[in-house]
This record gives sequence, C-alpha cells and structure tokens, in this order.
Amino acid sequence: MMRVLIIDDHEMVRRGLKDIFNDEFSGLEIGEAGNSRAALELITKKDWDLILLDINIPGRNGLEVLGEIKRLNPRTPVLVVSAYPEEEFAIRALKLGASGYLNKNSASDEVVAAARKTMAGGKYVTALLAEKLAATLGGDLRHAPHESLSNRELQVLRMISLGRTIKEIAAELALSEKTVGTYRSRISQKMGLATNVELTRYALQHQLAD
Amino acid sequence: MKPAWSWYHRLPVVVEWVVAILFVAAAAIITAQLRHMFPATPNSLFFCAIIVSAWIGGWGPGFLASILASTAIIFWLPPPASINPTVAGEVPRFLVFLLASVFISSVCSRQKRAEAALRQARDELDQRVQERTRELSVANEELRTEIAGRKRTGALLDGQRQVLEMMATDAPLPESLAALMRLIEAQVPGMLGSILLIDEQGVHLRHGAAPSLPPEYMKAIDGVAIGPYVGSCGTAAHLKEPVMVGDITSDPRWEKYRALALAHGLRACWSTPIFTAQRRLLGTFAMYYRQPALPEPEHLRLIEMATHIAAIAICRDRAQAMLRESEAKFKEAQRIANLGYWDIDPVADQITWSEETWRIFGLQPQNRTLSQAELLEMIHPADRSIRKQAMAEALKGLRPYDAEYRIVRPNGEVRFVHFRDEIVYDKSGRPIRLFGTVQDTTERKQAEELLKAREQEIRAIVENSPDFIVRYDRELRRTYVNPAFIKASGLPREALLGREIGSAAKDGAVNATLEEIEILESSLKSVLAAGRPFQFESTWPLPTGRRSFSVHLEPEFDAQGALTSILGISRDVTEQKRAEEAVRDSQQLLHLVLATLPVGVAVTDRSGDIILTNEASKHIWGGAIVPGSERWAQTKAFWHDSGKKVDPNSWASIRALSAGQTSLNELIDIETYDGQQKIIQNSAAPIRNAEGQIVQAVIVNEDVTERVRAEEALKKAEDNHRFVLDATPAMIHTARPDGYLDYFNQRWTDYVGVPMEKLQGWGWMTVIHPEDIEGEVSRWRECVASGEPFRYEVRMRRADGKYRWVLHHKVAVRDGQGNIVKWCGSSMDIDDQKQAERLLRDSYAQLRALSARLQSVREEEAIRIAREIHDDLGQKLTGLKMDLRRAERKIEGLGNSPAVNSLLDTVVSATELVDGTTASIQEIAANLRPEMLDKLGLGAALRYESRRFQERTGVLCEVILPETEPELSTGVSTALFRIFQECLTNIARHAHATNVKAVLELDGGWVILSVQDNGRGITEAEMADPESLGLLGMKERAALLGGAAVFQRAPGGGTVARVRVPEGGMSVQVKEHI
Repeated sequence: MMRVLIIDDHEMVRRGLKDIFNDEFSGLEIGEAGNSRAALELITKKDWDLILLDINIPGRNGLEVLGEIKRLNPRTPVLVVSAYPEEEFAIRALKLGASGYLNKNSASDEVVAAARKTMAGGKYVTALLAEKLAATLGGDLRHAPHESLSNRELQVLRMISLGRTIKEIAAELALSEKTVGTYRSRISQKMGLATNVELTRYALQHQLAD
Repeated sequence: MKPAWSWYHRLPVVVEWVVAILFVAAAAIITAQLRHMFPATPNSLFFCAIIVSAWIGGWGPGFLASILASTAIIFWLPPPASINPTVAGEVPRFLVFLLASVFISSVCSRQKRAEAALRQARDELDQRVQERTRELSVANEELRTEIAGRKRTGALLDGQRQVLEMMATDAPLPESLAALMRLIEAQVPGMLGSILLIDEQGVHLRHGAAPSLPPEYMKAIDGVAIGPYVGSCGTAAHLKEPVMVGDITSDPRWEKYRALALAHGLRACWSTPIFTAQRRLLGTFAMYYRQPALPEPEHLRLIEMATHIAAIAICRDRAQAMLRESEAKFKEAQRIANLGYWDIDPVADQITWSEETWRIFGLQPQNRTLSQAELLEMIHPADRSIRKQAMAEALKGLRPYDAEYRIVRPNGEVRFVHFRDEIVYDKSGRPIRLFGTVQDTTERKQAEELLKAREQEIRAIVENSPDFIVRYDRELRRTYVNPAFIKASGLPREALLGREIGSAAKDGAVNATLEEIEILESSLKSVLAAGRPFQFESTWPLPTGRRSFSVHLEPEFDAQGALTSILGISRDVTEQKRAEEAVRDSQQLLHLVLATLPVGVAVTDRSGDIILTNEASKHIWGGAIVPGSERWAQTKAFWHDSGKKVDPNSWASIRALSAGQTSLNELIDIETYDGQQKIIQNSAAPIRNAEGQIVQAVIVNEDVTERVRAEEALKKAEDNHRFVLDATPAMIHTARPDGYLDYFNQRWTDYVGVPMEKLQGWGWMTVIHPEDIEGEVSRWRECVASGEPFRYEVRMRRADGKYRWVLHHKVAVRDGQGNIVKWCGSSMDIDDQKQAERLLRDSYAQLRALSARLQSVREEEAIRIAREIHDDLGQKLTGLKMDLRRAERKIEGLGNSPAVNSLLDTVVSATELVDGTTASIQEIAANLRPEMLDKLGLGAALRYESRRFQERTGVLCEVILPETEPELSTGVSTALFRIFQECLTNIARHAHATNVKAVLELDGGWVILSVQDNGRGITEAEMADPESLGLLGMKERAALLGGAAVFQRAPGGGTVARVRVPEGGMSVQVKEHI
C-alpha cells in the first residue's frame, strides 16, 4: 500500500490533490495535515512513501518543515507544491533536500508525473523551471515533458507536429478553437517549448507523430 | 670389608672328627628309626651328615663320615635302609652311594681348605705389619726429636718475621723492639732482654724496650751518659764494642750500678752496641741473667740477629720520623707558598695532586686521582685552549710545560694558577710522566695589576695634567718634564732635561728675568735644605707670553729617607687672576650703572636690611634708606588701591626673601623722608645662590606719581562715557585685556538684578546657569588668550529668577600696535528665539515619527492584504483549478461526442479564466508586498524585483549580493526594498537607461545599497528639488533607520543612488533627540 502525506492549510487544495491521486493510483493511504505541528506529528508517527508539502502553512514555515523531515527521515521523497511560481523558492527547496518543486497552478497536470519520478528516486521540476535552474543547480532535472500531457493535449501536439493549424485541429476534434488554443499554450508551458517548429522537432524525436 | 671368621674355623681338630662321627651316628639312628616312614629316601640323612662334617672339618672328617655311613648302611642298618654289596643287585646302588658321599665330602671340604689358606695368609700379614709398626715407631721417635728442633728455629724465624712485619706496618718503635726482646727471651730461658737507644747528641742512653726487666730498674738507668765504667751498656756504647760481664758483683765496670743491679737480682749482663750499616751507633742490646753466666756460641748468634733486627727497626723508625717531619715541612711549605704539587701519568690518564693543589682548586684534599678531562672541567672555559696547547707542546717536548691560566673553584671563584713541569720520558722518548708544581698566583696577579693600574693612573694624571710637572735632582737639574710643560715651553724634551735652572733662559729660548730665576732657585734650595714642601707664586715667561704660576715643591726621599729629588708642580693661575680682576672691574661697572639708572635700585641681605642703594633710590625716597628692619615700620606707605597702610611684612622685598616671590609693579603711596607725597611702583625679586637658596633680594622703585595721576584723570573721563552706555537699551559690558570684566551697563545690571560690584571680575558667573558656567569660562579664557571674538550662548538668571537663553558677544579693541587694550561686549536675550527653534524641532520630530508610523502601518496593511489575496483567494482558485482540471480529464474520458466536446470547451474556458485570475492576484500581491522579502530575505526579494523589472521594462537589471546575506530586521529590509523599488520606478520613468546595476554590501556594521543606471543622469535641478522624484521619501526612510541616502550623477553618466543604514537599524525615538 502506498502512503502519501499532503501538507497544506487549504482544505480545497488538499481535496483536489487527493482526488488526483485517487484517480491515478489504487490502494492509497492519504494523510492530511493543515499545519506544521500536525504535519510533524504524522511524520514521526508513520513512514510515508511521498510527502507533498506547501511552503506557506501556519506554524513553522514549510521550508523549515522540509529541513525537519530531511533530518528525521532523509530518504522520504518530498515534493514541494507551492503557490509561488518563482525560481528562488524552487532553488531554496531543492537545496534543502526536496525531491521536486511544483507550482500549484501546474500541479493538477504534473503532480502525478512528479510523484512517480520522485518516488523512483529522481528529481522533478517543471520543464520551464528546469531550463532556468540548469545553470544554477547543475545536474539534469530534465525529463520527457510529454509525460505530463493529457490525452487530448498529446493529440493536439501530434496534430501540430503534422502541420495542422489550430482551426483544422479544432474542426477535427470537434472542439472550439479557443479550447485548442488553450491546449496549445498548455503544451508550450509544460514542455518549455514555444514555437511550432520546436514542438514538431520534439514530437519527431520522441516518435509521437505517427 | 674384613671377612668375619665363622665359629667353626676355630674349633679344635679333634672336635671336627668327633662331630663327623656323632653326625653319622645320629643319622644312622634316625634312619633306623624312621626307615619305614620314608622308605623312598633311606639314605638322605647320611648325606646331610657327610656335608656338615666336610663343611666343618674339611676333607678328613668328611671322608671319615663317608666311610662310617657306608659301613652303617652295609652292616648295621636293617632293611630296607641297608644295602648288601654281596647281593648282586645292590652293588651298583652301594657304589653310587659311596661315590656320591666321597664327591660331596670332597666338594664341601674345598671351602674348608680355602678358608684355611686364607687364614694362614692373614696371619702372615699380621705378623709383618707388626714388624713394620715397630720399625715405624722407632723412626717416628727420631722424627719427633727433629721436628721439635725445627719448631724452635721456626718460632725464631716466625718471630723475626713478625717483628719485621711490625716494622713494615709502621708499628711504633717501642712495640717492635719489645716484640723482638720477647722473641729472644723465648729462645733463651731465664734471659732478660733490654735495648737502650743513644740520643741525638750520642751522649745519653734512653730507654728502648725491656719487657721483662723491672720497670723501676729501667727507669733508674734511663738517660745515663755513656762512658768507660758505666755498666755493660754504657761501656759498650762508649767503646762501640760488645761488653760481656759474667758476674756483676765482681766486674769493675759495674762499680756505680752494682747495688742497683743486685737489688733487682741481676747478676750477669752482656751488652752489644747496635750500629747502622755505616757503623753509626744507635744503641745497645743487653742480655741480663739472674745468675752469673758467659755467652755460648748460640747466644752470640742470637745477639747478632737481635742487634741486626734492632738496627733495622731503629733506622727505619728514624728514617720514618725524618720522612714524616720533612713531609710535614713540605706540606707546610706548599701551603705557605700556595704551591701545589702534581703528577700526571699521561698513559693512564691519571693526575695525582698534593693536598695544597686540591686547596688551590678550592676542594677538600682527597685521596684519589683525576683525569685530564676532569681537570679541564675546572679550568676557566676561556683558558682551556691554553692548557691544551701547553700540555700538547710539553708532551711533544717542544718546551717545558709552563702555563698560567684561570681556574674556576666550585664556589665560582676565579683564580689564576701557574703550572710548571718536569717530564719523564721512556726509552723511546715517549713521555710517561709529568710532574711539577702549581701555584696560586691570583693575589700576586691582582697586586701586579693593581700596581700596573696605579702606575698607569699616575702616569696618565701626570702626562695629561695641564699643570707643569718637573722633577729636579739634588743638583737642581731637571730629570723629568711632563708633556704640558714641554708643549708650553715650545722646546724639545732633550733641551729641557739635564739642564740647570735658568739654562733655558741662558739659551735664549725664553727670557726669564733674573728675579724670576732667583725666586725658583732659592725656593728649590730651601726645600733641599729643609726637606719640607714649599709653595710660592711667581711669573714665568713662556713663548706665548709671561704667565703667573702657583708652584708647589715636594721633596722625594729614597727608602733610607735621604732626599733624592724634588717634584715641582706649577699651575697656571693667569686666567684666575684675570678673572678676579674682571670681577672687580664688573663690580665697579655695576656701581656706575646703578648710579646712573633712573629707577631706584636697592639690595637687601637675608634679614631684609638694605646693603646697597643707588642714587635714584635716594632721590625717590628723599634720602638714604637707613639700615635696620624697623625701618619698614617707620616708613609711611599706603597701598594705592585700598589706601591701607603697608604692613611691614607685606613689602615685596620681604615676600621675596621669605617666600621667594617675585612681585611686579605694586603701586604704593609714600611719604618720602623729606616729606613729599609720591606714588611709586615697587617691584622685588629674590636673589639666589648657586644652590638655589635665597640670599638677597633686589628692590626696584619707580616714581610713577605723574603717570598715575594722569591715568586717574583719564579714568574719570571714561566714567563719564559710561553714563551714556548706561542709558542705552542694549546690554553692554567691557573687560580688561586680562579677561577681568570691569564694566556692566545699567541695562545689564537691571536685567540680572545684581549691582555691578558683584558682577565685576568673575562675579558675573553667579548669574549663569550652573551647567553652562564651565563652558563659558573656558571659552572666554581661550578667547582672552587668542584674541578671537567671543560668542557664547548660555542660560542666564534674570532678575525674576528665571533662566533665559542669552547670547554673549565680545570683541577685542586694539591699539595702534595691535595690542588688546579692551574687550567690548553685548548680551542679547535670545530665549524667545530659542523657544521657537525648539518647537520647530519638536514638531519636525513628531512629524517624522508620524511618517514612520504611517510607513509601518501601510507596510503592515500591505502585508495583510497581500497575504489575504495570495493565500486565501489564490489558494481557493488553485483548488478550483484542480477541480476543473479533474473534471476536464473525466470529460475527456467520456468520449468524443459533440455534447461532450461542448462541455469540454466550457471547462477549458473556465480553467483559462481561473488561470488568468490567479496570475493577476499574484501580481497584485507581489506589488503590495513581495512574499519573498518575508520568506527568503532581502537578497532574494531584490533579485525577484529586478527580474520583474526586467520583464516589465526590458531594461537589463543586475543585482550583486554579498557572499553571506546579512540577517536584517524587517524594518531595514523593508526600507531597503522599498527604496530599491522606488529607484527602479524612477529609472523606468526618467532615466532612459538600458542597464541597471544594484549592489548590496556590508561595511563595518552598515548595510549599503547602491543602484546605478546608465541613463541620462539626475540633473542639478532634480537634485535640488528632491521632492520631485520621491527622493525625500527615500531619504526619510533611510534617516528613520539612522542612515542616509545620497543621489548623484555617476562618473560615467547615469545616476547613482547610495543608501547606507546601520545593520541593526535604529529606532525613530532615539533619532528624535538628536
């Protein structure tokens, strides 16, 4: 049985993350903590396979809690899920021993991929951040970014790589152009690739286009 | 082991035969009786009988037993024990029996035979042993006699040996001789031995040794003088040949001592003189007997031996005594001479020292040898090489070992020692022994050095003396002249020596007058005649001119007290004489000067009496001042200032004498001796001698009557001016050049409500606030000294008792030469002005506090709102987005129908909306208050802000941070962050820059943030009007923390803003008081 501890003071966020995990994994035990005290209590009481940690929590700062976790149980992977999108926080968290750093905005899409990667012993940051951090932290934080794409997004990526316009794609998928446009920008964001040319090259390299 | 003979060997032969018969008979009877019981062995008992018989008796009885047994068997015994030889069958049986019994008896008798042979041999041996024993006992008897003889000789020899041993071990002579006597006495029973010793003069015989003679007798003859009829011994010693008296009763040589000898029962005395090898008489040896007797040859041998041994003993003792004496003398001599003896065996490396040598080295005399190394240790380290070298050269035979060097005694004392040696070489020329003396030469050395030093000293004194030193012999010729004299005379030494007095003059080198020569000559002659020193003064010509000399003549005597020479010491006293004249001259000059001086000068002695006055003094006082201390009481004098009579003890001259005071220009009104009223300026100073003691006082009087009167007239005129000053509304005051405030106008005195008399001088201090007095007074003193204008604000007590701020202002008024003649001052009440200033400052501080409060309230509010927006709203939106995305995924899973797709469009659109909203919320929160600042500190916040700025404006913005980020308070980091934001805003709005560089650094407790751009640069006008660019806000933020912000044009164009605040910040409240 897999044990995941979610530390976040917002009930809504905890629920959201819980739903995502329950959708993706079976046989889960999910623990929840709304503040640092409760979190540390749970950490000392049980062993966890993964800890999701928010920085901004009541009581002790999330980064301090991270330090404490690393002291108590250095091998447990900690995935920091924060509202702060900025690289400064990511750098600090990774330096303190976090296995990954996710912006809450992208969490709904990437948390599953991140959880898999970190539980396997790897490190995870979003593609965009990885680009920025490469210089600062060194080491390879990159991963195959298309893993975090949803089915529809993957479909859109393939079609883009085939040279379809958004209009054509919308028509083909029977979706509004706006929705396809959104997909397109999500793909760019998740993969850290801006232009169609880059996306096409990526798709070809990873044999996504059939 | 000797075998024990068995009893049966001693049996008589008959018994052996009888035993054989009895045994056989017994055997036959027993066999007859028991034949039926043991039919199988009928004849065994016979065998037993035969064996026993043969054993005991030998072959004969054995054989008899066999015959008897056979007979019994054949003839006597009944069957079955019997054997009948006639019966054919029994013959062999009988033969067997017979043979067996013969055999047994023969075997058993062999033992008997052997024993018999042995017995015989033994008996023979015994006999022979007895014979030998007899022979031996005879020989033994002979031997015993021989041994007894030898034993006696041996005892003599042993005795001799013992005596010699005693001598060899230095036993006292009487003991050795006594032992010798006892030895001789043991050889000749009944003899009493005696030895008498001849004394050193060879006249008297003294007791030597006589262990067996009566002590009274020995005492009686002790010290007897030798002679022709002085008993045996005296005569023998006299004649130097043996005197053998066989009977004392009849011998004429015993005439004098007969009664004595007979009283002690002595009848015979044989005396023999004892000689040295050189036939020098040592004493006599006498043998006394209690019955008349004459010596036998063996006695003569003993006498010869005894005298010989006694001679050895006595010689040895004498030699020993002499040796001891000479050793003692030698030691004593060494000790007295500080001379030690040493002996070096270079081969064994052993040094032997005499006692004195040990003492020289500061050690207790020890009975041991030293090694070279040990000796070297004792030598002064600096002199060890001398010793080594001298030793090495001596050993090589280069030169005798003769060296002087220093040694260090155990107590650290350094001594000089002198070593001299003698070397003994072996056949190959190798030194095998060195011996010699060592002498402690320290005292000699010291004395020599002292003498040398004294000589040098005296020589130096004489040679360097500026005095002329000349030695004259009895003929008044110069035998020595010192360099000073040679130099002064300008003649060579040879020209001066050996010449008679005046000869130099005769030579024409100098031209002494006859008178001068005669004075010297007669003086010298008087010393020659009287033998006493003489002193006189005279002139003597030198090449440099005629000089005056003080001459001292000193006679010199030899050891016998005869006058040998005269030493003349001449000191040039020309200068001294001149100086004395000069003093006389200057005194005359002084009197002349004093006489012409316009001021009166008088000198008093220690008691205050005038001892010198000049003309002017007499003129001032209208006559000569009469000596005598009561003069002061008689003088009519009054202090000019107070008009009081001058107390006799308060005159300046008396103060100068008693307290050493120097007084200047004291104004005194006097009535002169001739009745005039005058004003004099009186000054006095002490005169000290070389030791600093006051010996006299000098008084200077000046008649200032005219001047003082003129000044007073002037002052009156000045007073008139004061009326004018008093009338003015301003507060005016004046001061003397020495800082004495002498005038305050009416307005001034009214203001403080104190009359001018109480303010004059330093009285004005009483109206100054106590806290301000020190500052004002010290400043006033500074100004008085330097002459710069005086300006000082103090609190001054007004007439109503309130302290008010007053500004004192004084300027110096100078005369034509620039000397300050007066200070003019004004005072102004500035209290109202001060009050206004303070109010302004207070309100400013309040304003600043308010502003700070506002800033912090605003900042807190910003933090709160930012947090609420970001946390609450933002997180809710995040949750919402998660839900939407989940919904989207679920919808995707529903398939691709138009209805589903339309739902998907809706959800994606909603998600997009949520994303947009989240982004704007984050932007708003960041603008309000960057989370970074609180969570990650100033450095991260600056970086973040610079990045946002760069994204927003496209202007490159670089932030450089210190290696270790400082721990800053929220106040400091907020202020610096806001200032940074403000700077960026200014740059974006005004600078037209493309590049911004911000540096945060730490410098000794200060945090410094500088922001520089490459834009157009801040203008003078902008800088002058700081409000326009929000510069005031930034400056104020910095000032609130106790820091400062500066804005200027950067050297290479653009603007640079530099903000420095204390690392810990500073509270606004503290700032307020500054």
